[in-house]
Amino acid sequence: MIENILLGFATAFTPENLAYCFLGVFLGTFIGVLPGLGSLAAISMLLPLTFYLEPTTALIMLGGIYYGGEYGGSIASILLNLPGTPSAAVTCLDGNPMAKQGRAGVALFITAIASFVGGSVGIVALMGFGPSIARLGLGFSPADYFALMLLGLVAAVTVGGGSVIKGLIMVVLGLLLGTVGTDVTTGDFRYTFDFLELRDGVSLVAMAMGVFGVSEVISSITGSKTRKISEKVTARSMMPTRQDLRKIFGPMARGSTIGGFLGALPGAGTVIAAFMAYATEIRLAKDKTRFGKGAIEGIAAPESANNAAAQTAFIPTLTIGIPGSATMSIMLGALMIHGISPGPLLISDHPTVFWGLIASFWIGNLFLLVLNIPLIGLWVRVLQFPYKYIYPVVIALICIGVFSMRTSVFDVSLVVIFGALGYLFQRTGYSPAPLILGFVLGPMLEENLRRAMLMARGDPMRLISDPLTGSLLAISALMLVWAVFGGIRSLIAARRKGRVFRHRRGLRCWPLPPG
Amino acid sequence: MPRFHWNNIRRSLAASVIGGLAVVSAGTAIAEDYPTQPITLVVGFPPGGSTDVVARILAGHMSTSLGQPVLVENRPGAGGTVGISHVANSDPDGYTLGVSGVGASILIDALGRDSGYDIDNDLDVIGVMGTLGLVIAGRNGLEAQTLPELMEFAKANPEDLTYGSSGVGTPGHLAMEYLKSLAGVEMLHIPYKGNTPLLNDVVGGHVDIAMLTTPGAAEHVRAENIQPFAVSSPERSSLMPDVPTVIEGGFEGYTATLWNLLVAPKGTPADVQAKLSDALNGAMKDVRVVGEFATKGLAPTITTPEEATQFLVDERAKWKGVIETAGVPKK
Repeated sequence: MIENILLGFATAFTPENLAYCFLGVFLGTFIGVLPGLGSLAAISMLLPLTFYLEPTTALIMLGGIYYGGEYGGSIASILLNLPGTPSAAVTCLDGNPMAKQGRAGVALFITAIASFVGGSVGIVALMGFGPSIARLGLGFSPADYFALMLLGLVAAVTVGGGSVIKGLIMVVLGLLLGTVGTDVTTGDFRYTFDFLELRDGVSLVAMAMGVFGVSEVISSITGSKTRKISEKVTARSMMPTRQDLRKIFGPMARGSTIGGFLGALPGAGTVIAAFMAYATEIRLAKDKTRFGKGAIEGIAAPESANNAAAQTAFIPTLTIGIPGSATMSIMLGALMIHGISPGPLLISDHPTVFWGLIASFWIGNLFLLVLNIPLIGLWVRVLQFPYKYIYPVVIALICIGVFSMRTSVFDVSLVVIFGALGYLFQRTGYSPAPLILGFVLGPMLEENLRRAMLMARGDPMRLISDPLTGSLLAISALMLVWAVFGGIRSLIAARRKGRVFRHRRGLRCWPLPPG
Repeated sequence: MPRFHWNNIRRSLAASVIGGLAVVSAGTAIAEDYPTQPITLVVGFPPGGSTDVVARILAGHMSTSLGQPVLVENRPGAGGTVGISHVANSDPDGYTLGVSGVGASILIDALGRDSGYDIDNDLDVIGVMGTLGLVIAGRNGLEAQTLPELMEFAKANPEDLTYGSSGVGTPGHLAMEYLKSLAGVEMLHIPYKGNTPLLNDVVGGHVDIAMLTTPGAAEHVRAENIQPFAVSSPERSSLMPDVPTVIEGGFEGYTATLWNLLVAPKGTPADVQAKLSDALNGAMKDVRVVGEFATKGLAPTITTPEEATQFLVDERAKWKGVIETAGVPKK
C-alpha cells in the first residue's frame, strides 16, 4: 500500500506530469466556467493530442480537465445564475442569491473549499477501498438501481410541505421529457416526431443550458434589471466568517459521503450526487426557509458531492474497466489508444498508470485550490461588466458548447425552445431544478425497473423480497408516509391557528428562482 | 433566420445544414488534384468508442498517404444513422466521408425503421474498414463449460437463462436470436443501452449470458470475471485463441461479425474513390496499423470499391436471413 502510494507520487512528480496536471486542471476550470462547454466536449477534442504523450501523462491531463471542470462549473452558477455544467445547476439555487446579496466572494471561497474537501474524500475512497467499492457496485442489480433511484426521487420531492405541488409538477414534467427517445426494452421510438436526432432522447446539456442559461438572459433583458455594483472586492469580503465555516462542516461531510458513494456506481453520476446532497441538507435543516435565498449549506453540500463523485467515478473505470459515464468511456478510449487494455487487471498490470494517476489527483486538487482562491477577486469583477457585453458572449458560448457535444444543429434549436420554456417557468414561479432531476432520474428509473421486472419474470414480489431492494423501497415508502403525515399535521396546525394553509409559503419543496 | 413553425423546423434545419456545407465546399477542386483540403470523416458514435477508435487509427495513416489531414468528426445519434444521414446529404466531392457499421448499413433498414437515407441509392461504398468478432460469454457460476453444454442446459430448462444484448436490433441481439432458433432453445432477452452496462451486469452476475465484443470481453476473460463459450467469427480470435468458434461448437456456417464501411455520398467521382480506396488499403497493409488492429481484436480487410459493395450485398442477405429465421419482429 505505502509503496504503491510512493510509486504513484514518484510518477506524478516528474516535471512533465506536473506540467500536464496543471494544464489539465487549468483548462478544466476554464472550460467549466464557460456555460455549455463541458469537460466531455473538452476531453473529446483533446483526445487526439494525447496520442503523442505517455499514457500516464495523457490520463493525468484528461483527468485534470474532468475534475477541474466540476470545480469551474459552479463559478458561473454563482456569479450569473448560469451553470457551467449540468451538475452545477444545483449550485445556482443558493449560490446566485448569495452573489446578489454581495457575498459572491464568500460563495466562491466556500465552493473552492467544499470542492477540495469533496475531491479529497473521493481520492481517499479511491485509494483505500477502490477495488472493494467497485465489487460492491457490481453487486447492485437492476432492481437495486431502481430502488436507489426511487429513493433519490422521493427524497428530493418530499422535502417540506408548502408548495410541493409546483415542485412535483416540474419533476413529473422532467420524467415525461425523459421518456422521449428509443425505448430500451422494446426498441420503439417514443415522441420522436420523425426526428432522427430525438431517437437518443433530448440532450441534457441543451435542456440545462436552455432552462437555466438562456431563460436567465431573457429575463434580465425583459426585466431591464440594472445591477447595483457597489461591492468592492477586498480580501476581507471574500473571507467566510467563522460562523460560515462552522456551518459548512456537516454539509461537506455529508455531501462528500453521498457524492463519493453515488460517483462509484456506474450510471449514477455527478448530477444526481449534487441533487441528493442538496435534498439531504434541506431535509436536515431546522429552518428550511433559508434554502434558495443564499444558504451557505446549499453550496457546500452539492459542491463537495459533485467533486467527490468526479473522483470516485474513476473507481469502476480503473478497477474493473467499466466506465460509469460518457466522459469515463473516453478516458478508457484514451488508454486503449495507447495499447493498454482497461480492465480488472489494470492495477496489477500497469501499477504506474493507476497509482500515478491517483497521486496526480491529489496534486491536481491542490493546484485547483491554490489556483482558485486568488482568482476569486478576478471572477467577482466579472459582475461589474455590463450585461450587454456579458450576455451576447454567454449566448454564443452556449450555442458553441451545445453544438460541440454532438456536432448537432438540432440541439442548438432545442436550446432556443428550452430557453423560451425556462423563461415561462421563471415568470410563473416554477423552479427548473426539479425538472432536471426528473429528467436525469426518469430514464434510469424506467430502464432499471423494466429490466428488473423482466429478470423477475414479471413478479414484483421478487423485487421486494430481495433484502437490499426491499429495504431501499421500504425507506422510500416510509419517507412518503412521513411527508404525507407531516403535511396533514402542519395543515391541521395551520387551521388551528386560523391561517389558511395556502398562504403558508414558508416550507417549500424547491426554492424558487431568484428574480 | 429560419421561422420556427413546427413543420418547417426540420426543413429549415436541413436547409441550413446543407447551406452551410455549400459555403464550406464552394471551391470544389478538380478530381486530379484531390485532395486539396482537409477531409472530414464522420463517425456516428461518440469519441472513444470502438468505431471511433477504428476511424482514428485509419484516419491517421490516410492523412499521411493522401497529404491532407483526415479529420474525425463525431456526429453520434440513432445508432449511427444521424452521422451517415449527414454524409448522404453532403456534396459528393470526396471531402465528407462516413464510417458506416452493421446497424447503419443494414439492420436499421432491415428491421423496417427509417434511417433517413437509402444506402444503395444515396451512398457509394469505398471499402471495408476491418472486421470485429463477438464472443458469447456467461457469468461465473454457470454449470455449463462449453457451448453444446450451455445449449443442452437451455433446452432442458426453457426460459430459465437470461441473455443480455447491447440493445434491440443490434448485431449481438440478432446473432443470439439466430443461435436460439438454430439450437431450438428459449432464453429471455434482456436489452441494455450499449455494451458497458451489459458488461457490468454479466460481470456482476445479474444476467446469465451476453454477446460481447472480443476486445471489451478479453480482459474480463483473462481475469476470470466471465467465462467464454464461443466466438462468433469464422476463425478463432487473436485475443482469445483458446476459445472455440460457434462453428466448432456444432453450428455449421454460423458467423456474426461487426464491420465498418468507408462510405461517400453517391456520385463521388470514380478517380476520387480510387484514391481513397488506395489510401484505405495502404493503411490496412501498414505494419503499425496491423499491429494496432491485432491488439484491439480487429481483422484487417483489403477490398476494392466493387468488392466492398458486394460485401454489403452479401452481408445484407445474411442478416435478412437471420432476422427471418429468428423471427425478430419488424416495426
